[in-house]
Amino acid sequence: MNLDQVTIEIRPRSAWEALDLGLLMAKRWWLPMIKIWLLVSLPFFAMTQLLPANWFWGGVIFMWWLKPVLERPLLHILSHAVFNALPDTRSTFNLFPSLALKQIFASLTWRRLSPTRCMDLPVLQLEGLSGARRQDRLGVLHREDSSPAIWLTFMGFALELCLWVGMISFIWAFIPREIDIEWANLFFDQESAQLHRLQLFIWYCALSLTAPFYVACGFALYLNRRIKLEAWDIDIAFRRIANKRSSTNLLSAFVLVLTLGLSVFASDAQRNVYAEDQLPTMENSSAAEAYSGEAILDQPLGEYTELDRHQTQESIKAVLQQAEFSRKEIQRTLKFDKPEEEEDDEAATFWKKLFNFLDNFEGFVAAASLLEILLWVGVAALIGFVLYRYRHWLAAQFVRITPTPSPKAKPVTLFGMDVTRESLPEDISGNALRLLNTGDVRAALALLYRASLFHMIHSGIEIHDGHTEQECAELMHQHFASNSAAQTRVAYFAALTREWQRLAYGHLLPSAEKAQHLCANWNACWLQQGHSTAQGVTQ
Amino acid sequence: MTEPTSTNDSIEINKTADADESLQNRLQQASTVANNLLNEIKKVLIGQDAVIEQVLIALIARGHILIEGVPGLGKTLLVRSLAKCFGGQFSRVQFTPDLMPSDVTGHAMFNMAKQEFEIRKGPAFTNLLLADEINRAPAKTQAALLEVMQEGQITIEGESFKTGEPFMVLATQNPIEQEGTYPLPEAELDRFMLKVIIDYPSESDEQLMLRQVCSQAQGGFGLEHIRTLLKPAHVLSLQKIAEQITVDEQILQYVVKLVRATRSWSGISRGAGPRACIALLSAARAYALLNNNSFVTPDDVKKMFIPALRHRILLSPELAIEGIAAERILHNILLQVEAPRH
Repeated sequence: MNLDQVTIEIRPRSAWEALDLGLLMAKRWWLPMIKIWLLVSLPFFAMTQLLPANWFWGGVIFMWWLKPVLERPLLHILSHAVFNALPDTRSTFNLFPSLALKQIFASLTWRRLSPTRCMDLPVLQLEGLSGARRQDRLGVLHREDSSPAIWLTFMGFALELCLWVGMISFIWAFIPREIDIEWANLFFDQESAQLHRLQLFIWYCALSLTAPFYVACGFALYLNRRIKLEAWDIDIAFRRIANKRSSTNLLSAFVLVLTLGLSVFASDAQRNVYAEDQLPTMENSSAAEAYSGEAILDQPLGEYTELDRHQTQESIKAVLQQAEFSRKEIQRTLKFDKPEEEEDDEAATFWKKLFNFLDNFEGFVAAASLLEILLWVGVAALIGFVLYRYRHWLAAQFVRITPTPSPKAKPVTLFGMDVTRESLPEDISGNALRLLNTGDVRAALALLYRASLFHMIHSGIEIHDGHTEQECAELMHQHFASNSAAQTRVAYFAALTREWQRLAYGHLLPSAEKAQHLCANWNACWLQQGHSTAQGVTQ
Repeated sequence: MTEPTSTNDSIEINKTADADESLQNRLQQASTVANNLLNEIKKVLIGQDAVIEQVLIALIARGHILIEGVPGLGKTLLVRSLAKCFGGQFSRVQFTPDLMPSDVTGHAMFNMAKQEFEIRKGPAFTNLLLADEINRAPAKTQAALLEVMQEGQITIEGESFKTGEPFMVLATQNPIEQEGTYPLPEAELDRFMLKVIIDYPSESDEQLMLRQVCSQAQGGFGLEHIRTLLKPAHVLSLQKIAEQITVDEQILQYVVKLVRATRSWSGISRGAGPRACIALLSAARAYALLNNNSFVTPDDVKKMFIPALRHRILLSPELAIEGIAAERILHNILLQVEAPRH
């Protein structure tokens, strides 16, 4: 490998820049690549054409499956072209069998579906690694840029499919409309046997179009990773400086020292990264200048040895102790005194001491448990407080508590009438009869009705403002429905209500007999059973 | 309120015994006739006694009635049987979205032969007008009924024509939530004396109805068995008798108090107007007549309060959103407004 001869700009790139570089490389060396591709792949394509027509999918898969092997000559061309040593087609074709047979079984079986195939191929082909060393090497390479490699494989496959469908559509678009054939069926349905060979050819074209770009992009990713790992750009820069200054003795001596020192450092650093990986020097590369038909990039690593971490650490220390890395400067600046720091220090030491003390304190666990209990008690108390604080809201939201009816005070007026004991005479019947005799029928009936209401209220019947006389009678009927002893009183009150309504709203006087009867019977109906009924009600 | 014992003088019983007796007799007769009418319709329309009673009340009180209910509950049957019972004319207008006002009231048409305009009277010239599914027509057509309901007359080409006597509009509507309906405007709603909610009959009533329908030859409702009990003129006299029913001053106050309560009640954003007082009192009178009472009691008022007021109030948005019915609010008013004081 001769970095002086490199035809691409060597600098660390991002993965996507590296892919761009790959595309440019493919464009630049497309012709030699496609030539060798056609040379090596056409025989296989011809084999697929020999397959029976209904083995169409077999042919497609066969071509697709062989891609890793067919791509190897492309990588061979690229790897040399990058170092300005483009091999001719014939020599590459002659090398194909040896290239193809390298780890062919693994490449076509379990590694065939590897999504990072494009990036892994150079490790196999150019570095010639296998087994554990290959795995380690891939581990190092995949630390970065493996994700773009996966995407590259995925997009390459998608591009192949798009090209295939696109070319079929392209052909289809040229078929005249007059030919009234359902061409879609011919291409895509099972009856498409006639066009299987055409389809296979289209598939082969799609593969041919994508393969150089795919290989080049994968190789670019690989190169980029190596440039980063082995600091090729720095190497090249130093070489350039060295070449420029070679005429000036003093300076050249200095640069030589610096170069040697840094190259030692670089080689040590590389050793640390991937185990005894010696950078090919110009001296080494001079041997490779005479092209011998072997890969240029396949000797970068030297003999594989186990990583000696101790030795590596020692080397790094030795380098760091050199004068370049141990320059000391004393800078003096003004600074405020910070007593807080001291306090902080004190606090820190206090806490440190405390925890040290607590570590040794046997009751610490018990104290922590106690603290935990106290915390839980605190949480419970907080929940309790919240529940108590919002109890009304919670009750309104979640619990439907029927309010306990508060005992109501007995009304003292009803329907505008005074219904207190004081307002009523002792002898209701006597007074009513007296009023009746004086001709004041309404007053007599009002007295009877008022007294009846008084007794109703005190026997436990609740009467509201909105209740009418008729409703009062119905309430009474309901209230005493199960009390047979009070039925005479219920009947009496119904009759009284009827007469009272006729008088009050209909302006109709009751007959003298009825009025007389109502007045005379009040005492008998209400007072005789009143005591027992009241007791019955309260029970 | 005065103390009862001191109001003796205030009672004015100014009717003579004879006049009183004749009124009682006529009232008795009227009540009997009205109840016969009720029972006759009950034979056909089973399980809707309350609805039939309220329709009769509206007829006696010269009111109009709005019946709300889902289709198929016998609304049309009710009106037809009522029309047949008193031998009146009956016409039915199916309200549709494209119905025009002139389709209800009538219009002037140029007669080419006679070379003059002729008035073609619409279906509203009748005794019982069934406006079926009134809320299916837009407000323009609904408003065609405003004049005829209030005045009992229709103006066509500047000339007023009286409708039949008695005249009653029975409008049916589907619940407002149903699709393709237009809510009635307030002015129109206010002209209905009562709004009756017709609901599904009970299980036993439905079985009875089904049995009865099955026994009919044509599978009809037995409308032909309904007897014509009275003439339209008799209905007019029923209406006059109902107007003679005594209403005490306290009852008037109670009616006004109840209606005014709807205007200041929390939860009602628009209360009932004065027309509600008139309707409530008239309905209470008719109810008293049906119950053979010569005077109106607070119970009669209470009984008619909800049907007469339920379509005249507008609930506040909060209550409407909560789905609280107007009836519940009206019931609360009845509970809390003081009954008359004597």
